[in-house]
Amino acid sequence: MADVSMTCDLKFDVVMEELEQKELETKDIEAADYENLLAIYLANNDTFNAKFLWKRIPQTIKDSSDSLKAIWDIGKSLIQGDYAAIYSQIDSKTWPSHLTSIMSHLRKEQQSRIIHLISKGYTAISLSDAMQMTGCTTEEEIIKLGESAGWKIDAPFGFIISKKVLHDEENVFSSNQEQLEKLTDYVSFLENHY
Amino acid sequence: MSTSLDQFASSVRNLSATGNFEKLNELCNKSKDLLSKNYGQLDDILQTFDLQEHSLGILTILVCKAALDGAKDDEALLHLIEDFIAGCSSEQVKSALDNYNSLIHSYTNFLVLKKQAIRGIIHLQKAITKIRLHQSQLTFIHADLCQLCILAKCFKPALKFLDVEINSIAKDAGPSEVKYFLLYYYYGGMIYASLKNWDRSLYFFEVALTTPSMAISMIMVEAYKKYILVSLILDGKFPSLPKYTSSIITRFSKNFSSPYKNLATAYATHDSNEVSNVIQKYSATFNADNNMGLVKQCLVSLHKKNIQKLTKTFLTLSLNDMADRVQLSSAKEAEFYVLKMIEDGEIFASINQKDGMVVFLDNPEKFNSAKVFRKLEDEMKTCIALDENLRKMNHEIAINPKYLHKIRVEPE
Repeated sequence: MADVSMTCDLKFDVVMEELEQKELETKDIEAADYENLLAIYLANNDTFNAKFLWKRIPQTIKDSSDSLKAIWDIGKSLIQGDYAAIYSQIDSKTWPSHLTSIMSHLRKEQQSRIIHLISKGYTAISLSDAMQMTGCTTEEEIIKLGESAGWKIDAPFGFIISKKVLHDEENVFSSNQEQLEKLTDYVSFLENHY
Repeated sequence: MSTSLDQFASSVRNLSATGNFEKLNELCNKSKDLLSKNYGQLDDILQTFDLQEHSLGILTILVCKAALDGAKDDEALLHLIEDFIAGCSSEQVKSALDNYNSLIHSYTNFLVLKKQAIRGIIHLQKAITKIRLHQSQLTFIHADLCQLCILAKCFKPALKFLDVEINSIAKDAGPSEVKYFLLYYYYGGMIYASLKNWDRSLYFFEVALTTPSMAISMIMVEAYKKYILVSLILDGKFPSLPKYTSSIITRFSKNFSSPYKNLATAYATHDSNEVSNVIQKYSATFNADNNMGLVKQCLVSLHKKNIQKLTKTFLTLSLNDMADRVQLSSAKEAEFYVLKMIEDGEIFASINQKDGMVVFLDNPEKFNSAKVFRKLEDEMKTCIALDENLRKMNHEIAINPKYLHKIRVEPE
């Protein structure tokens, strides 16, 4: 089984590819491998691949692993958009050691995805909904989180979210030299052919 | 070992050594009868051959072995084929594509029958790379890979091949090449539909449908049904076939598509009850065609299309009103749909929970960012490459003797 307990975010992709390859080679793949792969798909919000992986895992392995079923329950919540359920499903279970880091990664990813979505999709959201969707357990926690995302508190209702101008994250043009090269290509293409 | 078999083995060795593959293939094809009759001794000959040096000899023997009854349960044979795929000489097998393809087709069939689809994926990936000249060349075993991926419910390995635009075909002399061409596009369409990449799925079904033909193939019939459904999901309308579709398809399509046509008519009313009724009415057909999943997606897409329509009429709308207008059960469900659509970039809107309203916004994209610019650059690069390709193909046709002969004979 691949050791993923020590890996950081970036390495999950590498582990994912290793596990996918291992599955195709169909040799000594075990429940733990499926558990890791399924959880990584969910952390990437890749519900399609997660769904098909679940469908193809042999029934005997599904029956033998409680963790696998628990992970898939999270997947189901994710697909159905039942965001509130996801956090308690993660928190209420003690995961075996090979899953702990992936699970906390999944929780973190899910939370930041939701914060981004709330910023994008709401101008006002109630405190309780925001708490549920981000998996916060106390009001202090959600208020801190909301402030860090730039939401304004509107007590007692919840948050007011002003629409920021979305920054183009990669707003850097390539160098002049490169630009010139590309333009030369276009012109030579047009001149030679038309 | 009988003398004729000995002769076969030594001829293979000699011809392989001289590199005369044409003659060698002729010999191999002629010896198939002989080999099949001496089944018991084939393994002995195999022992004397080397994977790399005598690939064509081994290929012929494997083809003969695979043709026997009960070959699918011959685990040793499956291993032989797998080792052969990994170790054979790519140069040699390229000269005998018909035998090679037929061996791979048999292998695929065995795994399908044995329900071990996932086992073959890795071997078929190798098998394809062995014979294609470049990435964008289609082989007739691409379809086999897609079939195994679908059966194994494991799509990622197929995507590596499907995502590449095809511009040439590795032809073999086999009689069933059209079948594998159509199957590739049919299976590809199914894989993209499973991953909800509707655009690409529609394109794949369209290629299958618009393949020039004098007779109608069952693959086309099934592709047409799925083509209608995907078009409904993606564009919300019944698709009109492109002008270059063979006339036989246009003529016969009416015969088998009536339930689908009715579904499209119901869809056009924008009334989800109407659509549900049609689904109910034809559920037997849809189930028999294995299209129920896609049919249900149509209903989901109708809700979304209806919400998108609202954005054209209203600037703001309460969630309750919205649920009424698009026939959703509650404001909560409407909120769920809107949020999902915002996340997927299908509408531009924001929800205000305080007064229960949705505000529809304009597309925030002003088309003045570096990202748009880069996309434009990429598209231009693709266009230039496409132009280059067309030019090359055009040139090849212009100097093709058959073509020249034809235009000389029929000057008009």
